[in-house]
Order: sequence, then structure tokens, then C-alpha cells
Amino acid sequence: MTPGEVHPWLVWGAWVAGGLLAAGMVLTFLRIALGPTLADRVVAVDVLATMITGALAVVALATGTQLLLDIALAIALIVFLGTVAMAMTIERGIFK
Amino acid sequence: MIVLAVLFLLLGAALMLVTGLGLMRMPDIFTRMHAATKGASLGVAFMLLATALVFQETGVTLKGTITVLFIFLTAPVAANLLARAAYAQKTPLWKKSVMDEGRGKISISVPPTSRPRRPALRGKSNPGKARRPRRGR
Repeated sequence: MTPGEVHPWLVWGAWVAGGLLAAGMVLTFLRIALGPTLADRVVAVDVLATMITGALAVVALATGTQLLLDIALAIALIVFLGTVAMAMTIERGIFK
Repeated sequence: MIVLAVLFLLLGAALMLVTGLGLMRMPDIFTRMHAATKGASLGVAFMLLATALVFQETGVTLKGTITVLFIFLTAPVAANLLARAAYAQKTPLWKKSVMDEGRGKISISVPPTSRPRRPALRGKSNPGKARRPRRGR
């Protein structure tokens, strides 16, 4: 499929899916803001990165751009390292 | 095919919303992690399945499969490490928790601070040896 032709149902579905994703992201941001400990915030950031991967898939569907899937793969690769590093930092107890 | 793709897309987005709700409403970090890991992984899997159904090209399908496999492999590992770290830091459990199987088994496995080692003194040979109590006397 070239970027010019996108099925109209797909655009509609992408709008609805984007709305649901945005609601989920707002809740995740709330957890980042109020999380009592650092571990809660790290879990929320991990979930947020996964949601961004899903949002990139939605935008790729709505516009017919395949390149965004590469970025989704790169984000999925990078965030794992960050989560593991933050887990080690939490276990050392440097930050609360 | 397009109907199936839209259905999978909406299902994935709904799973993401459920994940956000679980993150916000669950009482405890461990239960929150339970909501977060599974919901987010499954949501992304459904969304990438939708992209593979729409584009129907080998590259897109391959990239989506690799991304889903990687997320399914790494999300449990990251959640396990985080839960272990939070438990070792004595994060309180939920009040209504029934069981605490990790009590006494999980503790801090890395040194608490990464203090740089004291540089060796010049002039004295091995100053640590002199301080050691001798046994013969």
C-alpha cells in the first residue's frame, strides 16, 4: 500500500484506537507523577514506552508509512536496557 | 481483511487502556506490575498483527514478528528484575495480601553503594596487613 491510499475504515479505527491509547497514556502519566516509590515510576515508564510502540503502529496504519515500524522496533530494543539499569539502581538503594 | 485489522487494532488499544487503568487502580507495586506487563505486551502484539494484516508485505510482517518476540522475551525479565529490586528495598505489600513467599529469601544482591576503592598508600607496603590480628599471641 502506498501512502496515498488508505482505507476509510482504517482511518476511523485509527482515530478510535488513538483515543483509547491517549486515555491509557494519561493514566500512565498520572502514575508517573504520583507513584510512591521509584519502582512504580519505572514500571509506568516501561508501560509508556510500550504504548508509544503501539501508537507508532497506529500512525503507520493511518498514514501508510512503513518506516515507523522500524522506530517501534528500536524503541522496544532500547527501553529494555533502561529498565534493567533502573532495576539495578533501585536494588542498590541509592535513590528512594 | 480490513475488518479483521480494524478489530485487532481496537482490541489492542482497549488492552492498552486496561493496562493504564490497572496501573492507576491497583493497590500495590507488585499487583501493578502484574497488570502492566501482560496487558501492554498483548496490546502491542495485537496492534502489530493489525499492521501485518493491512500492509501484507514480507518486511512489515517480519519486523512486527521480531518486535513482538522481543517484547515477549524481555518484558518478563524486566518485570522480574524490578519486582526483585522493589522487594529487596522492603517496599510494603498490600495490606490484604495473603502470602509473602519471599520473606527471608530475597535480599540485596549488589553492594549498597558503589564507593570508589581507597587508593593504595605510597611508601608503606601493604598497610592492610599490619592491622590484621595475629593468631599466635
